[in-house]
Amino acid sequence: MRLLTKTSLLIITVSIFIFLIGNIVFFRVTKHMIINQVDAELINKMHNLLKNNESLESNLFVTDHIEIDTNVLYDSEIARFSDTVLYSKIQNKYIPHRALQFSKKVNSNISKITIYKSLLSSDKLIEKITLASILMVVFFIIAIYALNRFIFEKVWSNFFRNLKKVENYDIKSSNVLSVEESEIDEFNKLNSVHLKMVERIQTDFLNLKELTANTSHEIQTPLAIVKSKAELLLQSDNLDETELNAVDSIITSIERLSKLNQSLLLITKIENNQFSDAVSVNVKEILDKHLQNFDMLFQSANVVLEFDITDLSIEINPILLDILIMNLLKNAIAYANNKKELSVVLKNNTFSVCNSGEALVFSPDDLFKRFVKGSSNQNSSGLGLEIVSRICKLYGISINYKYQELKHCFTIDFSNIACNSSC
Amino acid sequence: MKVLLVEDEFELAVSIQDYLVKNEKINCDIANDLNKASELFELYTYDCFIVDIGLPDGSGLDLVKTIKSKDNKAGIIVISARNALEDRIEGLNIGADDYLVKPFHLSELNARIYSLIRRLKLDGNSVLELNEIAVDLQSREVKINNKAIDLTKSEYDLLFYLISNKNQVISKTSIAEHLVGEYVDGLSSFDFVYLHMKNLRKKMVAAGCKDYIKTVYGVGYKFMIE
Repeated sequence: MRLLTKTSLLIITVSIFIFLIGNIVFFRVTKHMIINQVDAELINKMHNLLKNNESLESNLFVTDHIEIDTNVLYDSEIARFSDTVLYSKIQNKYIPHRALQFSKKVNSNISKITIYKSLLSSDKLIEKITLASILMVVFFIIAIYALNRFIFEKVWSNFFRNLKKVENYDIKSSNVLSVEESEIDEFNKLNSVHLKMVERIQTDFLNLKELTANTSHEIQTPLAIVKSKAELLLQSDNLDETELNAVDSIITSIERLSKLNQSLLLITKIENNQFSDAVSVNVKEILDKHLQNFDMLFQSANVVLEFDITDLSIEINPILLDILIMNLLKNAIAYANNKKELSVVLKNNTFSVCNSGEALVFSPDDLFKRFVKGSSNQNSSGLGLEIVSRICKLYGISINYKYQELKHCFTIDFSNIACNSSC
Repeated sequence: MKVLLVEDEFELAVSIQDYLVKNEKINCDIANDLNKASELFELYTYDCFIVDIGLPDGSGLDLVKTIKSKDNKAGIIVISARNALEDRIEGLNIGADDYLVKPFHLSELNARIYSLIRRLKLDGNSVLELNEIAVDLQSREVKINNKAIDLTKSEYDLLFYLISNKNQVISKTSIAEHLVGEYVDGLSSFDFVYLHMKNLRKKMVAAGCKDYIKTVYGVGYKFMIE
């Protein structure tokens, strides 16, 4: 719910509630006052009647109606008020009246007198007043709504403009986040908190980036030393076979460590968006190049390669496309089983690589995760497919894995970065 | 043959020096910073420079520029822990002949130096002769007892790699990497090295060449020649 909607709704609900109670109270008070007024008039009349011996009829114009009951046996001193209705022959309906009953001694005869006053005009008055106040309330609520809107736009406009700026701000960019000064202290405080936060995140981000780059860079040098020493050791004439094998294992392991390190560095670089410029690249050319380079491996490993490759231009960073294709091919060769069947298809904006192989020993959902690998391959870094999925994510292209007819198939859909005569 | 190695990591420098001297009878000087390197460069003439990029007193690329600006005909190999394509391109653009990423195989570095020096010293004669073997570096033709044998591209690469590292144990990993480059990582076996080696051996022996290729069991191969 928007802030404006929320506040308007709250204000309207509360004002309706307040006005409802206010109107009820107002209605009651008015009614009470009118009754009091009528009562006072009636009492006044009663006194006049009692004291001055006025003829009852002469008072008729003050009151609306007088009833005299002479056949009363007892003298009730107490005057009594009551609400009643009398039938009006003129208006043909019952009309509310206020009645005052009292007794009077006339020539030792006690007569009970009831004087009435019509409440018709005061009821009309209350009706009009209520109607007016309801109208006023409606008008008032509309006014409050409009005012709230106006104030809201005046006060919060700055906030919303800044919100939009923060929303559109790319924390990885080198641009400085600029927010507008406001007259309102709280907003300025919010801005400064935002700026501080962004600054911190950016420093952390840069530090982390530098740390990864430096670490991986620094690790390569000691690795190079160990590797060179091991290779020198290999040249020693007095090593027996076991010792030579041990040295060879050292060299192989260092190789793995160094490749792992380079892969991690590559992942960081992809994450940091350090491969930005996408250009139009022909996938076929790159694929052909790799298939040619892999040829030696295919031949010696007796790989049966099937391919169906057509031209396709896409907009992508060429280095990343190169890595993407190479990693998928490497993965296919590394995990192809004894049958060594490989198929590469580039057609209708999709690229798929399939290799024969045993079913996965882990869930296919984990396939693209770091360091998840089939147990059969000791040399795999477990990062190849992670890199593939990072590249796909970077360009918003979809990659699917399927295992069917004893084949592992990876399919990439390039359609959203394909050049359709536009580039 | 004189080589200047500019490398600040003492241990690595010593390893490289050991390997080069042992193998090729190369005279290898070591400079551990830019200052020392410039000094040695002024004093002596070198056939080849091996330059690390990250040096304590500056970038090795500056030295490469200096060497190139003095119109030096020497070969330059840049070694660096940085693998980014931009670094490679920059290194090669300012005149380096080759770029090698750390950690490299000493045998690989040696082969690159060997090939570079041979290439620079051609002077009309591009044939390398070792007993009954003659390798024409320009036409990539191999002759045994003056009779040409037909080698595939990878078999030629393999032979050249063995010759440049003659009398040294070369690990299978380094051969595999030399042959297929980046494609090597993730491979479950290096059977293709064995296969190519077998074919090369067969062809050479069939042409009447002595079998110089010795298998170092479990580790790799050695090209034994006097």
